[in-house]
Amino acid sequence: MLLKMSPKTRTDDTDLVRRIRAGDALALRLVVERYQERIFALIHGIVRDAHEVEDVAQEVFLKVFTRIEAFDGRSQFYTWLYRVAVNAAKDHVKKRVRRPAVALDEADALPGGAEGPDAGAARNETARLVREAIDELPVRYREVLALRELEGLSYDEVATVLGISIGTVESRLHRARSRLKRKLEKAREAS
Amino acid sequence: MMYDDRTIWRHLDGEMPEAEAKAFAEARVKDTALARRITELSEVSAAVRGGVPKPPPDFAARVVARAMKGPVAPVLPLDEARRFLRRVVVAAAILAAVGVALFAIKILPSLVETPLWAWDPLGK
Repeated sequence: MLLKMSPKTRTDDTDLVRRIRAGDALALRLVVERYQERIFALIHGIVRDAHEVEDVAQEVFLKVFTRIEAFDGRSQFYTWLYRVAVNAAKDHVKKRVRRPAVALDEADALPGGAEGPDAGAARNETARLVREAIDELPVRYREVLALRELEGLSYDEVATVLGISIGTVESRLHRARSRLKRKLEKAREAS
Repeated sequence: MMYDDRTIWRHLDGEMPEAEAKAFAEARVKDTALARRITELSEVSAAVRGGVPKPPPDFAARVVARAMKGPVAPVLPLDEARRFLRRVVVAAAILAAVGVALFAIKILPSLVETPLWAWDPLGK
């Protein structure tokens, strides 16, 4: 899942952007296929409801198609795309009426390797606790966490996408992770 | 040397300068408590990365299909109101046109029968 753009990908993006500007639907399809998993991950990191991710992701890619003129080419395309996705996810969180339950059964399975059932259960329990803790985080913490952990962006890239300083990125990340860690520690003490 | 969580995160994120990273790696080998803390924080990262939903297989095709349909903005209550208002305006325009046509058919011939210079609207 971690993202690092190769120079070739960046060149391809430039070409795809040119074609989308010309109304080429195939180019849009290629962009969607290239970025859909990352955009799903990023949106989920902010929206936190698996049922709502697809709608927001569609909105993001349609914006790419209809508002490609807003991309001025001064930054990398993926930086702009992530900004569009973060803004769409944040708008969605602001607008929605919160649903009472978040079904994330599919999220319970983390890659376990050759571990025994106890270790696997403990890992799933850790994942569940971390998810609960992320749900409770303010959006400004979720967005940095998602861009760093799910997209693998550097602090500098996260700062560019969000339009904040590197220092702010680092401090928000630290606070977010500290909350997650404290939640885990409390849960472990309680058990 | 004691490393705080923030420093450990910078190491895990690959944001540590080379010289500091080298010293950190050496400390990690010697200091079992530090190694354990790194493992704990790594577990938090791994858990954050878990449980991400995948796009359905036809997602790209559906996005393209929607893009090709044209306007893609969601229908808002305001849009509905505008659409209703437009229908009212069109209906009013049609009624006005019918009125003008009736006027032309029924009233105008009687006016034409009387020459304009002889027309006396006050009946004097």
